[in-house]
Amino acid sequence: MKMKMMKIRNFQHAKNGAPFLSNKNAQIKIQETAFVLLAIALLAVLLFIFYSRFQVGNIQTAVQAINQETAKSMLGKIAAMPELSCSGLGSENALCIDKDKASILSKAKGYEKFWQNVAKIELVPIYPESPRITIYSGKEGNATYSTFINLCSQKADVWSCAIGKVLITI
Amino acid sequence: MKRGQFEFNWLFALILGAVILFLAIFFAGKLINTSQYQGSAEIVREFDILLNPFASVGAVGTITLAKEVSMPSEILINVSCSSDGLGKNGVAVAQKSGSKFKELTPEYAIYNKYIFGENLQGKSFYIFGMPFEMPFRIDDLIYVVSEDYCFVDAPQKIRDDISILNTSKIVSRSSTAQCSPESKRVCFSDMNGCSMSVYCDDIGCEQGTAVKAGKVYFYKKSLMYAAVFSDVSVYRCNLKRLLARADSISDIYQQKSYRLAADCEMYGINNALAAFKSEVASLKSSLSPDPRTIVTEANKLDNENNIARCPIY
Repeated sequence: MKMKMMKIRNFQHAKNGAPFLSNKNAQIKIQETAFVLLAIALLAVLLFIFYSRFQVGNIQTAVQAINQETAKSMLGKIAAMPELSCSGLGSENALCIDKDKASILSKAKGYEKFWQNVAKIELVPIYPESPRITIYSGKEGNATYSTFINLCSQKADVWSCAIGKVLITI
Repeated sequence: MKRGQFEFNWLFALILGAVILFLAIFFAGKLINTSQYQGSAEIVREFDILLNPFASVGAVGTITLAKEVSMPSEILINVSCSSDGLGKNGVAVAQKSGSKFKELTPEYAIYNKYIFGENLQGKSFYIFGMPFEMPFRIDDLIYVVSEDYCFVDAPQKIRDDISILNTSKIVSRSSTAQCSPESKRVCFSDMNGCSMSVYCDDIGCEQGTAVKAGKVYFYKKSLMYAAVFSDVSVYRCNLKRLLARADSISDIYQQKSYRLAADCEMYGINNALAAFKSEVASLKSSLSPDPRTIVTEANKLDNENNIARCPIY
């Protein structure tokens, strides 16, 4: 049996010109190294995925907060726009939207980009109730913010007003 | 362990260690850059939101709001302009890292504001707004100031505005010698040592010419400040945007006057509005628009509106 093994070993020696056992050890070492490299690469990929998810989450939260601020500041700004304000009312025009101007503006061209980051702007007369006016409707929105406002319309030199709401969807 | 194997292990550990170290430093650098870039991008969006109150009050003839705004770190703000359609202002920001500014963020387009400012860099900025009427309100103009300005020999109405603004960044002096050497000297009469000159056509400086890198014309005090605080190209471009906006608002007033025509005599207003619109259209196409050319038509429209039973604005 021992003789037979020796023969086999000698045969391997003759074939490769290098010791059989040492060759096998080297192969194991290379395999070990390859596994270590693979493990490191996998770990790096996992860390990268974890980090990018965390970063995307952070960015989405920041975008949401900024959009919310945009909507809130837009609510304050909208009644002061000359395209919508009750300019004919003089100094009493604060927080008042001219319904006639609003319906004209809803059909006006060239204002699409002007409402940047806003998905929809609507005026809703609450009391007395009347149909809502959609000033702008673009992309799909996620959240709607609103504020109360006077919605007035001019008939000759007389103004009649309703209590209404401005809805801004972001 | 044989000598060859021992050397291979060391060599392998060294190479892998170096690679890991290099990757770690590389990604850490990238990470810092990305977070700074993200910070700058957030500053640009917040800067847009921050400017909203300066353009929403719509008071007539006075300064709407004036505030000193401090940033978390020293930043560089680049304001550009495009006058296509209703136009836009582009704002890009770079944060300071060490002694120099990092890469500018991509331009963030602001379509609903008129921003005037040049060489904007620092930690604190002085921002104020003023309404622009021609003859009806178009919008509020927003001025962003980071350098020190010294107004020399300014008319009384301008001196009054400066005292309302009450900031160390904009001061009024009677001669250039009284200005600090680092400040930009804005002279209201011919004298030496001026960074720019403003020539007023009237006592209130409601019309005139401003000369710095080029000659620009203004109508209303709000445009005079715009000419002082911004570079020539941004001023001309924003003026074209304002004219385009005036044209759009005129369309709305025209439609409104048609609706009111059932109950009121609107013939005079409609004619004045049409003449005003045609002047605005021709001025808009000019390379260096002189808004003083529409003063006559603007005044006619204002007179018609003031005497009308049903005023449109």
